[in-house]
Amino acid sequence: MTIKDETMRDTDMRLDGNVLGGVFSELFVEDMTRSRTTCAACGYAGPLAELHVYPQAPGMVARCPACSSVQLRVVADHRRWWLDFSGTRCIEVTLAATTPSAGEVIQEP
Amino acid sequence: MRSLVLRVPGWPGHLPGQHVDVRLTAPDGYQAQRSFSVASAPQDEHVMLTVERLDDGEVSPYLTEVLRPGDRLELRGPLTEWFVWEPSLGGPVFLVAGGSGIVPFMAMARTRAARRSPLPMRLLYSARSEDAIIYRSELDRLAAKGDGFDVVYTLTRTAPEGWPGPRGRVDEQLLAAIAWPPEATAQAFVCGPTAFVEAVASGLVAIGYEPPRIKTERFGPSG
Repeated sequence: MTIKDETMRDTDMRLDGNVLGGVFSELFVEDMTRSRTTCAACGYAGPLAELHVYPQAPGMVARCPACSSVQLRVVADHRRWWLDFSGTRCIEVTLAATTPSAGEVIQEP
Repeated sequence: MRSLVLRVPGWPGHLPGQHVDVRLTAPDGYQAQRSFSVASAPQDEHVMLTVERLDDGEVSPYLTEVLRPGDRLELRGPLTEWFVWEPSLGGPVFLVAGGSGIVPFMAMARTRAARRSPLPMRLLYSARSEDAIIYRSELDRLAAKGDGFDVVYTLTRTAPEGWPGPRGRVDEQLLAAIAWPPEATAQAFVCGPTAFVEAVASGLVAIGYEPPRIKTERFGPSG
């Protein structure tokens, strides 16, 4: 197999950062795919949902759509998660607009 | 291709375009997990997933051939509010599907119809052949209502004699002919195999769509 073939195949198999929604939903309260990440390598900032995700590794590798540097890596086994955000300089998380629930006191303390 | 209809007690409801992760665990503890778009509309009673069988897949052969009514699946979701459209998000909407990339758009089109939304929605659906068009009769029925939903099929490999629609892959020229003009500031959604999605997204940018108005969902071949 030539290097060119390998590169083409890698490109064919990448997914969107949106696919990380499930694993992050186990760890974070907010929908992290709506957050914006800033690439530590090139400074590109954009939605996490638009990172290029390569799921064929033992974990998931998410690369910058602008410069292809690894922004983050996620690996899990049955009980543990390893999150490597070293390629992300900053993550901006917008909180979902949640409506507070009304609580009514029904018994004196 | 198989559509699975699931009863999910406690399903919190979903937004059109959202996906679920399906996790399978083998007797030895080995786990495999894949994401599938929800095809049903939020108001439907059951959750429908449409799964394309990939011969060398770990999950899709099980889902399409082994699974029987009564079997249980481990689901996580509905997930993410990124690749989502519902009437409150406005229009016009331009949907571009490649193959089984049609699935999340069914949820969007069904929702638009169920809510009687007048927002214009146009679907460009690329399939290998006429037989490979999934949901054909339902899409034609939705388009026949003449209420602002329309669909154009393009056939990439074989087209029957007298096929009235376009043939060939979705390229810049076809997008320019079918898509809402950039001035309409439509929201575009593209879903399909990775190479398809990337070609269509580039084509949309080339005809003047602003990148923030293009959302993509790549379906990897890792099923």
